[in-house]
Amino acid sequence: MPPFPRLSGPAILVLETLLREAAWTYGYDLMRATGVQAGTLYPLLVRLTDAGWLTAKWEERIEGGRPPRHLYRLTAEGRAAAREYLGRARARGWSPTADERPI
Amino acid sequence: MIRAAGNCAVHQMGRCLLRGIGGALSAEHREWGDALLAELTAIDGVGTRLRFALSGAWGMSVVLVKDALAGHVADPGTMLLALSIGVVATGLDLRASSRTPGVALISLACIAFGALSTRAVWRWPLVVGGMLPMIMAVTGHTGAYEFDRADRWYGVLLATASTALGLAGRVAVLATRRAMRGMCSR
Repeated sequence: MPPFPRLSGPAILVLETLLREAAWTYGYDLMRATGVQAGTLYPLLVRLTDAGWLTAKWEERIEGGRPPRHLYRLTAEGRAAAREYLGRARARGWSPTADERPI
Repeated sequence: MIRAAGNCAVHQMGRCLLRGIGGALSAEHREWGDALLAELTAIDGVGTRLRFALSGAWGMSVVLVKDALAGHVADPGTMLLALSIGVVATGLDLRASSRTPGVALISLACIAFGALSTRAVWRWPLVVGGMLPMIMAVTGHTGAYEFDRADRWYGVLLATASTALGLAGRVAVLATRRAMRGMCSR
């Protein structure tokens, strides 16, 4: 059984954004790009990381004395799973513009 | 200056909230609390920062509850069995003319749980023995306990003693095995 038998709209949106970004992404940037609030986004990121679909790391180069921030990127397994889920979601009529909510 | 002080207070409130929730997370997920805290530094606007902190704290509290439950309800089969035994014992107690069948069931079940399922062993007295007062509260059917309200909690005490007995038995068996192995190896 896959770790996510069903994914919500915000979850698919987050996966779609992570797949598009490919590079390491900050949590707040992901929030702004998807319109998904922190209360929904971060538990989702925790689940994705626990499932091995997402990898997280602390940034190495810090400017201005602020604390290092967390960066996220899909793993190879996560990218494959994201493509599969997105394919299925699109087949059901899902589109990113329908779920985007600006902050 | 007052506005600046107010903004600072709001910012600190958000940080305290996230720090509090983050500190309560399991060791496995604690860095997510730090991640949310670090993200605050990248957000402009006091209101936006506070909304992020509140929303993030809410999200992390969901993770916190899931973590807490995962450690104790990870064996759903055993939990279901314990719940079923509690319900059956309650039914026996309320319907039967004697308390003996219910007492026997609770005792034997909790001795077994104490001996065989030691993960979060505190659950068994509550789940098995606590079914009687709970069902009485929900259904309003008090049976013979209409007059003696404290007596309905006897199941919890009995289940606690039986679970402790089961656990003590397990410890004794394991200690004996270790001692026997030590004797044989000499």
